[in-house]
Amino acid sequence: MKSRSQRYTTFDFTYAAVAAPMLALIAMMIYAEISWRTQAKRSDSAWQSVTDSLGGKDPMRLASWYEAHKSKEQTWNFNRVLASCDAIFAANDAWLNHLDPTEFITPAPPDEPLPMERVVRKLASDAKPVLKLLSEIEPEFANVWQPFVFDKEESLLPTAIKSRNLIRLLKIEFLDAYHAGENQRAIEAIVLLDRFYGGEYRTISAAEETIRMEAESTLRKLVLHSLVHDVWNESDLARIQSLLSKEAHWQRRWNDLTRGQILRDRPWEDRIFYGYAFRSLWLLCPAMHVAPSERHDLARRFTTIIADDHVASAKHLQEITGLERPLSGSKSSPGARDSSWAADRWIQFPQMNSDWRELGLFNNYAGVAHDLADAFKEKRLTQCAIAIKRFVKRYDRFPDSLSQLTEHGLPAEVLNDRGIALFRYEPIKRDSVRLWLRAFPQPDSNPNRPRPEFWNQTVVTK
Amino acid sequence: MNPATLDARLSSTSQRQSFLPINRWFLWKEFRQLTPLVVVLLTAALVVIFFQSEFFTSAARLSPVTFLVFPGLFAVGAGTVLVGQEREHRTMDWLTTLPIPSRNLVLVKFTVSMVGLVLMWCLALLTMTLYGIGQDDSSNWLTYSRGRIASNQLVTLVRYPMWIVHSIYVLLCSFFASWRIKNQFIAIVLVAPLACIPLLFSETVLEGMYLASGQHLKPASMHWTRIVVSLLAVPLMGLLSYHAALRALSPQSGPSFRIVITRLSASKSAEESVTPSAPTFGSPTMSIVWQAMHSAPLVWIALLSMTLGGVCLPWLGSAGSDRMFSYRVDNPWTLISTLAVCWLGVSVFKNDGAAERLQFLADRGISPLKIFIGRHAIPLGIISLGLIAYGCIATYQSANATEIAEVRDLPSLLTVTLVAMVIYSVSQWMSQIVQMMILAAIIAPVASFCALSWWSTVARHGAPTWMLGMFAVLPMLATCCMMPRFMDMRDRPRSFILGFGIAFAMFALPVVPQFWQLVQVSRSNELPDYEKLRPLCEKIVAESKSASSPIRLLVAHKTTSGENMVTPSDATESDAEALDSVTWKSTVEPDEFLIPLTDLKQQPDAATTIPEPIWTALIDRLMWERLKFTQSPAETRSETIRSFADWIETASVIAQRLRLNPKWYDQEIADRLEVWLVDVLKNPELQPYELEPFFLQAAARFPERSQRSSARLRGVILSWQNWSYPTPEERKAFGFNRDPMVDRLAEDGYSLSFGIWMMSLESIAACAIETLETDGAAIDGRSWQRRMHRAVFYDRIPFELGPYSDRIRLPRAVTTIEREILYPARFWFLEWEDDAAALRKNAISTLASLKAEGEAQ
Repeated sequence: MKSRSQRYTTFDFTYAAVAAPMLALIAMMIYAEISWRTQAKRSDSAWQSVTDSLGGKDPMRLASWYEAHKSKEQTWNFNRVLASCDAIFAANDAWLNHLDPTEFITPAPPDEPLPMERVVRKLASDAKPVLKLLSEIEPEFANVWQPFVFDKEESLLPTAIKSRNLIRLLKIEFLDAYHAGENQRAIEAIVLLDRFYGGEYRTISAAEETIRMEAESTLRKLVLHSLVHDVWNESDLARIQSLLSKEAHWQRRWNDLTRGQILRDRPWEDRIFYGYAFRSLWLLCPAMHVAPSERHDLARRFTTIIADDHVASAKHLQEITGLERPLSGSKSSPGARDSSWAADRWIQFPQMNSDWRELGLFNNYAGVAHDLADAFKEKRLTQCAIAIKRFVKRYDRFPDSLSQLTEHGLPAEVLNDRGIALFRYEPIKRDSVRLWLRAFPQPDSNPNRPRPEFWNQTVVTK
Repeated sequence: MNPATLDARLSSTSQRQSFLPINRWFLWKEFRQLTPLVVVLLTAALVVIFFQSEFFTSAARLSPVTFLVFPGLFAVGAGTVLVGQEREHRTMDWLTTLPIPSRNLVLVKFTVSMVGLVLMWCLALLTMTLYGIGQDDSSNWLTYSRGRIASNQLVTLVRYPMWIVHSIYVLLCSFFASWRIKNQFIAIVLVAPLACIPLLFSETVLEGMYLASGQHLKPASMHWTRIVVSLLAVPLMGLLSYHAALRALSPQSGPSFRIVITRLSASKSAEESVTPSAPTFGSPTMSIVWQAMHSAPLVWIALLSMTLGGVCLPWLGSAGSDRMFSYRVDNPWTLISTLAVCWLGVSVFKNDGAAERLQFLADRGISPLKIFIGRHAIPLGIISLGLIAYGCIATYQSANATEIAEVRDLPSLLTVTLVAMVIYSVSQWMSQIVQMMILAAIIAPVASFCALSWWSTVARHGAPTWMLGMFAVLPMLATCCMMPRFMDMRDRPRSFILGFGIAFAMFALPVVPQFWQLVQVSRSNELPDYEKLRPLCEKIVAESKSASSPIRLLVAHKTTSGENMVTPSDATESDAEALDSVTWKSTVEPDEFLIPLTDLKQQPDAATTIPEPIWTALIDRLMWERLKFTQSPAETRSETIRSFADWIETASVIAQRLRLNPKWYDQEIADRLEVWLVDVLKNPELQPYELEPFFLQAAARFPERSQRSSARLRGVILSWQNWSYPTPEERKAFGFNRDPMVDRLAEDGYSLSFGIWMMSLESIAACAIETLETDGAAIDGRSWQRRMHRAVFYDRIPFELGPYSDRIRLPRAVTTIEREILYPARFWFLEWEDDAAALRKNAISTLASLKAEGEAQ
């Protein structure tokens, strides 16, 4: 019998090298598997801390919270108001939900022509019984319960979208009343906007929050545009100012919507991933297996979202808006991915990378965070503009500086955000001034085209 | 027959034979030689079309590339078949002895192949025209496309002129390679790099122009550049091919004396002493590897280049430019590496791996397993190298990407490995089954594609990864099992029988987890008891077929396909007034699509239906009209009630006619309309009008409880029948195409694989039927609401969060009427049904007493 050394020659070993790539490939797969197991422990603990901070990922928590914070008292009335708004727009010559011809109409005083006056009058006339019913709903029942099925975004969306026509109708009511010189009716319209979509309104989704911000924006724009006319008297302005001075609960709003979104999405995260993968462009796309390193990264970004910090702070805003670009690295935006690449992605299935699927998810948070911060600043801008108008009414001249307004009742914090002056005050003519709002730091801004320091001007006239 | 006559006949026959157009005979022979290739390709095309249309998603269904690839495959194979077979059958020398000039031989072969190519193109274009494929934005005969698709690589690639010109060039390449190279396999492999030369050249020219000018050419100019380069390459390759043919057909000179002497002496010395450089192996496997490596080094080099090129070139090509880096299946470079993997599989049992040659090893007692391993070592080594290269590139790209688009289509290493394994495994299997080398080389990619289609389908539906791996390995096991018989050339017909078995296993195994899931669902006792339900269903279906109740569309909106559009012949504007404002007048005038309400009122047995968007608009309008009435001052009530009464009557007529419709969806809409009506008629503000005719008639139109249950039961069973047996005739028989509610449920069921969602629909139907039969009582201790929740939502959300929980069912019914998403059986067995019955009873008795009073007066 041949001994082992006699059986195999150097050539055997030389030509056995053809097996080297196969062995290397097998080694890569084994390494990936080890990496998968290691990363899984890390990911589990990161998710544990996220869900712990939300009080667990039991979907019933969201339903319980919703039932506790919403009133069924006026659901019937509010829902038929919403349905009627849709019907009014449908009956008035086919305004489809997404088209609003009055979008760019600004308030016109009685002595000026109102664009599309006939349409505005007709709609305002149709809206009368609706607004009458709406005004009968007492403020304590303004957080209206809806029969939500906490299944997915689509079941919450229709009700949120229906609110858009109510907001439009209230705007039309304001335009009509303002043009008719009926100041109290005009103010009543914005009071109703604030009652149902102001700071006391509790939301559970980004869609609802976006609609609410649309309502707030409508209110602010109507007021700001009206300040170029001399329509409001001192008591009107005081009433509007008090409306705008109400607590906005920015942080609570952020917490509400993030908790709502996360509690609704998390239990079915795999299903969401699956849905995205199913519709992928890649033709041979099987069900998605997400690598633990990616799950960990996701958990880290959720940690940023639910951080207990003020949403309007520039730092947090920067972190949150950075979330929408998960691939942009940690250099430019702190919110972006900072974990190193892990080999477990080799055996993720089917794509090497699943960040693109999360893009849609984080767009919600980043977009809403950005809009919330904008709303925060613009609310102060409106407050400041009204204070100037009131000053002019009282002294028949513009203040020399904005600090003069604080001596006449405007809270000093309105003019500053954490020690930084928010506005630039600029007299342009004898009878008008311009108020500029400071631009926010934008992590995604192009360094070659820096944004101006101040923007979003508004004009106040005597 | 006398000898003179015989001589004359023989002479004339001989004369005729001498004048026989030998070219025609040769032409006939060539056509016959080419027929198997055409038949195989057409069969393969049919199989691929079947697989694409059955298993691919709608986006990828019947891709134009499918049809364009087959003329290309023909071009690759034609030269090899017509020339390579002459070599294989050793008829090349015989051909040279025929009294046909070499030029004619070459021309006849080329002409025959061109005829075949034209035929393939005609079939491909005809099929594409019949299927209406590839006409997205402009004619595919143009060299560019307009609009957004202009930037899409796939669509711009399928412009016909480019493909046709290139296929002629490929045909000439295959002739050149076959005339030039004796080894058929090397010849086929060589065609691939040769075919890429004009593409590479044109891309280099375009890249050079881009570097020089700093901007890309317009899409049309880029295509013209590619076409011109290919056009120039055609005569060049034709010339090379012609010269190669003449050289191959020229009489070969015999070896010179000096050479013979040299060879003899060399063989003598070889016998006398063992050459020190000759390798000696202890392992037979390694000796087989050595033999494979040295017998066809060019093949390995070519296939290695193709594999690595397919992996690296898309990445290198995208470096430093703004072009998309992609490994999508429609990327031409990806296709090249895929083809390389296929041919690596084919190489295993062809050339030195052919049965005749392996028999030599078998005779020497070498184990089939060792030979199997030895034959696979080099191809698998090359594929592994390619995979490692891909792993490195993908890792680098993924770790350094700055844009989502850069990694969106980047498959993972595991995915690529499994895909490569499927392709390789099926190809080597084909190589063992199909004896003719050229057919194996062509069938292997087609079979791999079909296997990959099925593999991706099962993968998409959530088959576990180990199962996907098993799928890839099965054909390897089959060839390994067949090795002993294959080596002894005793594998027929067993290899075919095993082949069918393996194909069946590949089809069936990945479905096992799905099947198990189905068994689990069916075990949960939520599926219909078909035997129990059959008599009831059959009775209702028979009644519905014999009934002559017409189905009328009340309102319908225009769709692009013209479905559901009602002809305006019987519509009048005055009749339409009551409903015109619920529609969107800007798109369609109401009299174009409204069926007169009066018509509906006059025909008590006329059923109706209402499309989803119109239902939403109608319920909104009803809410508004009610609000207008309730908010109107008391002094104007007498006027507002008139307008409101019209809407009450409209709603009650529609609800009543919807109950006659055999669609579950319409029964659900009828439920919601009745909920609204009950809430209106019970309202204290309407009590002053309770003796008005509109009030009494609306209340009297409510069905009795049993009638409502029967209508629902009929709706459920007939809709169930519709989705269980969705033949066009049956659908048409019920007057609708799809039940919107079923569509909605089907959409929700996307995450449930295969027939699970269908089973979910059946569970919903079964639950609904049993619930209606037991009048809402609990079955087996479980409330019907919980059963319905599980059937609708599966395990997605807890019962308490769903629409069947008390949270949603207990509040006043009218407050919870939903618009867009209609959950089945949402309003069944609630308090409003009792209220409706009471209102009906009162109305009927009041109407009767009024009638009696009237008669008395």
